Amino acid sequence: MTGLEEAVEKLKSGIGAENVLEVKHQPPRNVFVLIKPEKLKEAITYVMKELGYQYIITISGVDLIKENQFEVIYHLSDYSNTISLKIRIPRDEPKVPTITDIIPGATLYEREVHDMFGIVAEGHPNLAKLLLSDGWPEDLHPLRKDVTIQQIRERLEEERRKGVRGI
Amino acid sequence: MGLGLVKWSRIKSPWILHFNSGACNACDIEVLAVLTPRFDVERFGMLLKGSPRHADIIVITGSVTRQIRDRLVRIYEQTPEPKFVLAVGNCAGTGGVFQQCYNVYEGVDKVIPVDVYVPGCPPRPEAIIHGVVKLLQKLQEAS
Repeated sequence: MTGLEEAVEKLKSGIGAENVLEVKHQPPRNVFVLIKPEKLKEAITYVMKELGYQYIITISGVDLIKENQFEVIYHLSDYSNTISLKIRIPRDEPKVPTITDIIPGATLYEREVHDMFGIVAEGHPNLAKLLLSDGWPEDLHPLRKDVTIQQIRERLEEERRKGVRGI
Repeated sequence: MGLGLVKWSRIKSPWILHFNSGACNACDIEVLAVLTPRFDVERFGMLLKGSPRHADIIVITGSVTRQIRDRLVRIYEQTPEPKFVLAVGNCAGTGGVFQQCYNVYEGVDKVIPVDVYVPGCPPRPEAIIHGVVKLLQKLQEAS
């Protein structure tokens, strides 16, 4: 109908059907495709170059604390449909390859995900703090599910007492 | 000063400074509407000033993000005594919808003292004028 089934079939043949773990259609214009992490760059290149998708909407993160994993979702769009490529990475070693060499505009989104979840985009040109305030501790990631708001506040108060400013 | 000239002139013409401490701009638009001829708070002699050193009243919108806290305190300290603070909007009063967020202080009064709160999301210009008049009464009473 919207060509998304066809696009997913093409993607499967492009990166190998065994690398596509799960496909979830969300009609009318969205599809979520779970792929193996090592095939991420290949899949994004395929969607952008072969399927003609033009831009990345955002990169979002999900903390699957029960499975001890992070899910990173790359939302790619062709101005009408959205293919969201999902990968799951271990929570203890949160690293993804950067996609800024394929999509330069993804640099800010990778920095945001790094701020919020501590997921490192390896090879990123400048993974500096983007959204959090200046004095925010480097090892505190507010959207992780293992810290509560009370813990975050106590930690920031402690940092403030130590003389850190900008929090 | 003799004859209360300074106090008289302050009540007749309190200059204000508008400060956004992380608001969504809705309150700011209402504050600006108050300053325009339609609602005309200038009939109380109020003028918007660009510098805290010229201001008597600081009009603060927004729920004071962690990034802006130190700047807000600095602006407050730059304002000459006696100074008054008007917190406009639910966010400036209590944090509003940003309560329990990791990046806000939940209200201006967590950081600096506040004289008058104007609730509303955003408050109507009439409500802001009401708050301003309350503040003028407070100025009158303050010796």
